[in-house]
Formats: sequence, structure tokens, C-alpha cells
Amino acid sequence: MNKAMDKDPSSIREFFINKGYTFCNPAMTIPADIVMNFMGEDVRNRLLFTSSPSGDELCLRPDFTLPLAISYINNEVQANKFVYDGYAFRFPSINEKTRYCPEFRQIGIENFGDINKINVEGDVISQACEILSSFYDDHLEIKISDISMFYQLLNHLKIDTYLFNRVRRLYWSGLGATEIKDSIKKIINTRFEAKPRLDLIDEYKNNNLSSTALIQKLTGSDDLSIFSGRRPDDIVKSYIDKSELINGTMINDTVIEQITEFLSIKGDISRVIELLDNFQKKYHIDFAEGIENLENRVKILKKNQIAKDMIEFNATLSRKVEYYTGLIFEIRTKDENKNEPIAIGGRYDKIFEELGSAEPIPAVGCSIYVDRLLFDEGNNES
Amino acid sequence: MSHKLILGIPNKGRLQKQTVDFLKENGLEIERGRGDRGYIGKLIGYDNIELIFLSPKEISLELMKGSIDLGVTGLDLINEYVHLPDMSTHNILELGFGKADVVVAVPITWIDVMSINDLEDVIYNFRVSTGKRLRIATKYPNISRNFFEKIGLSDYLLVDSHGATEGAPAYGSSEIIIDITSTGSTLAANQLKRIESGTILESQACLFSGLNRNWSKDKMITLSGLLNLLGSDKAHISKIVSLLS
Repeated sequence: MNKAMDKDPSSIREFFINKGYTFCNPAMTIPADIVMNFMGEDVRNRLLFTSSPSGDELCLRPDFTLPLAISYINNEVQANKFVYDGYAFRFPSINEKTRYCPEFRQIGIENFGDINKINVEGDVISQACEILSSFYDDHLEIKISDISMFYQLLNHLKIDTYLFNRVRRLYWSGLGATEIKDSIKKIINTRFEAKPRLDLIDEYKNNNLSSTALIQKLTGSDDLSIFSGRRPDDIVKSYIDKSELINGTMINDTVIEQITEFLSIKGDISRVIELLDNFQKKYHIDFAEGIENLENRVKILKKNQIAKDMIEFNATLSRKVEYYTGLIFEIRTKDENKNEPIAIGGRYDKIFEELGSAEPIPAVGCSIYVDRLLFDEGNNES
Repeated sequence: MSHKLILGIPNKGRLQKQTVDFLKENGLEIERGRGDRGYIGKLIGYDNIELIFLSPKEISLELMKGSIDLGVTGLDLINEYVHLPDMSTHNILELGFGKADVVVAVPITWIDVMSINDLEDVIYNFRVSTGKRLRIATKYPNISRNFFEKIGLSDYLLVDSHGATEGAPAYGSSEIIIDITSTGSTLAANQLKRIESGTILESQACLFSGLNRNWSKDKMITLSGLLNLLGSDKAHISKIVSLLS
């Protein structure tokens, strides 16, 4: 059944080198603040921290994309396509059954700067499938999603930044559509316990009350000195946002319904294209580009002998790493007992700008979890 | 192997006085060896019980290690210092004194923070806007970590604080605190407030038994007698006995 046990994982690295990727070994530690900004809540909880002699907080690389992107932007590497092979560090999550120690081996690829976006995406998925197929007799399963369509929907709904960020966080924490729906409802219903003082808010809005004065009136104390690093203006703005939201002026059930309905979209590609088309007509949003991209990716995969029935779309597919901007995919074996993918990847076009690049640089990558390949069958039959 | 029951009693401070008073109310008089500085003692008239005077923190640790049978200490300290408290200790009697809550407290100026939900927003936005994690001063790092893990929050940084934790936001060594409070007056004096769902633990002094301890039949009889004196009913005593044996 599984050929993985008697295969050398280094063959994966060789495969990619033969495909034109340059081998690289990025830095083991990254400044902690950079990591914190890119990783989702779940990963941030499982990072390994250390510090430099001068006291700066560092983080052992939780993946290879970040340190490699930092090297790339600093011109420390001279290529555009990279393959890496080494250990990354995260404490195991409760659900991970294949490992007990914080380090895990990853072999993967990065493709920076190629503007033929859909072609590159199709190639990366195809190549990953090709090499992984040599480890398994059975067909692999590919799950894909496109986060840009979800962001497009959130912008279309014109929800406030506060709720936008909350929904974004729920999405990145890897919840399903129903869980996200329940959580949004809960946030809206329980978010603000205070009975908002709309009279004071009006006074403030008419410039008759300063932020500090508003806070003094609400707390009934004029001897206030502790703001703990927050500006009174920001506190008051947040207070007003929440007060207005509780009044129901900014959100209604249709918004929640649309978010849930979109996130529930999943299934085989033809079905999903139909669902996306229905969705865009029903809610007057233009998904033409997203749908076309999806169709084109599938075409490239087909050209590379990946049958349509191996591919499934799932709108809630999330990687718990917040830097993705478009395609997200994962590759799984058909073993139903396995809930962890053996490879993951996608597009992250904003990563370089957030690292300080003046120009946007397109980026696509894929990581293979070597430990999961080797332990895949679970029970040692030999 | 001693057949005597070893009971840990707080060695100083208010908790000691309250424990002694509580025992006295139930007709039990303590005799401390070599006066007030002795570390061992006995309950007058009960030769099967040996007392050992330790700090409440040490009592928690010794219960976990299995070097004492029983101990009077705070629920907060058991939760803070004992790894997996339910596995190595059992709370056999709530004593009704030393009541206080371990709570999350934020500056009263944070009018937009009424609940843990609101605090989540602030913690998240604080990191996004400053690039730093919000600092929480506490002497309860383990309790705090467990609490935040349960609600799925990770963007905070715990700052060790021993004593005068309530002052930490005032002198800028943390943004908020997690501390123990009974009346809330110290919080208020330091311009801090409790928030909805921010009560992590309702603590009080309790009599704990150590589960990593060999409970002989003799000891069990002594324990039943002691619990009887302290006002436990038969059902409760037999429940404890079956749990320990």
C-alpha cells in the first residue's frame, strides 16, 4: 500500500533540483516580531522563543517561507526558485498525533517573482503531486481554495474594521462555516455589555467633549493617569464603534448569512463553479476573475495528468498562517484516519511588501511534511 | 512507614491564624514544638496526627510530591504550583476562609473593555499597532496561561511580578494584570477594574489530600475521625475514603 517507509525522503529534494530549483538553507532564527505578524493565532501559541545577547527576542523558524523571503529581500540569495530541506520548529498541537517534539522536517519549494501567476500555481501543485505519487500507490487528494474571493466578499459587505478583523481571525483559526457563523453571532451578541451613552457620544462627535473628558464622565473620575499605552482617542473610537454596533446600525443577519453561505461552498470543481456563480448572482458580487482562475488551474492540472476527481474545493480551507493572499491548497492521502495533509501551499503576494519591499513580488510555495510521509500508515506492519 | 497522618499547616501570616482559629472552633488545639518557631507540632489529644508547618506554597508542592498526607492551603496555590492538580491532589474540604478571586484587571480608563471578548480585541489590536505583545503582570503564570489557552488567546506576554502587582500598570511594567482580589479596593485604588468573564478562579482555603501518597487503613481511620470533627457528614467521609483507597 504505502511505499513511503522504504523511500529516502531526500529524493524529494533531488526531484526539485532537477526541476530547476536552487537548493538553499535559510536562517534558523528570525526576529520574533516579524514572525508574530505573519503567523495565525494557533501557530503563535506554539512558537519557540529565544533571545540574542543584546536581548532582542528571536524565534526559531516555524516554517521556511519567512526566513527565505527575508534572505531574498536582503539580496542574500541569487535565484528565484528555491528548494529547502531541513527542520522547522513548532510545539505540536493537541491534534497532531505523528510527532511529540517541536522540530519537524520539511522539504519544500518557493517561486518568487513570476508574474504568470496561474501557470506557476498549476506547476507547483503538479510537481508536488508528481513526487508525492512516487511514495503512494493510491491516488492523492488535492484540496484547494482561494482566500482572495473571501476577502473580496468581506470588502463587498463593507463591514467595519473591527468585525473584519474578527472574522479574519476566525477564518485563520481553521474553523468550519457553522462554527464561524456561531462565533460571529456570539461576538455580536456578547461583545459589549455596557449600555452605551449615546448622549455623550453625540457631544463628543460635535466636538463639545474631548476624549479624556468623555472617559472621565463615563468612569466618574477626573483623576485618571493610567492608560497603559493606549491613546484616549483610540479608546473612545473603539468605545463608539462598539456602542454603534450594539445598536445594530452596522450589521444585520444578511451579512452573517452571506459569510456563512460563502464559507459553506465546497465539493468537486464543476459543482463549486456552479455554486460560486449562483452566489455572485444572488448577492451581486463579481467573482468572474476568481472563477476563471479556478478553471485555469484545473486545466493545467489536467494537462499534468491530475484528474478532476482528485480535486476538491473547500472555502474554509485555511492554513493558520495569515500571509496567504490567493490560492491555498493541501495534498492528502486517501486514508480516512489521517486528518493532517502531507503537503500544503499557496500564494502569498503581500509577504514582501510587509517585509519592507517597495515593489510587490508575487510568491508561491509548497511544503512537504516529511515526518507525516514516513509515519503515514501509523501501525508498523514490518 | 509511619502510620501517623501528616498534616501541613500554614506557618505564618493570616492564613495560619485563620487555620488555627478554624481548628479551635472545631475543638482542636495545636501544640507547636519548640514554641512558635518549631516546624513540627501536634493536635492535642490526637496522637495519630502529626503537624508540619510550611508556607502555603510548600504545602502545595509537598502534597504533589507525596511527602505529606493532608494540607491546608489556597486553591489558587494548588492550581498554580501543582502540575495537573486533579491528578495529584484532592480538595476534600472547603474551609470557608481566605476567600478571594484570581481575576483579570484592566485600567478603568479602558471604557471600551467590559468583558474578555473586548479584551481580546485590544490584545489583538495592540500587537498589530505596536508590533509588541500586551504585557500582563502576574504571580500566577500557570493559571494565566491555562486560562488564555482555554479561550484561544496567545498575543500576550506574561511579566513576573512578586508583590504589588496592582501597581505594575501605574509604573509601566505591564499594561494589565492578573491578580488575587477579595474586596476589589486595592484594584480600585490603582485605577483598575475587573471585567465580565474575567474571573479565572474563585479561591479559598481548603483541606487537600495528596493522591501520590500511600493511604493505609490506619490513616484512613484517622482521616475519617478528623473529617467528622470538622463537620463532614457520613456520605462525604465515605466518598473521600473510597476515593483515596
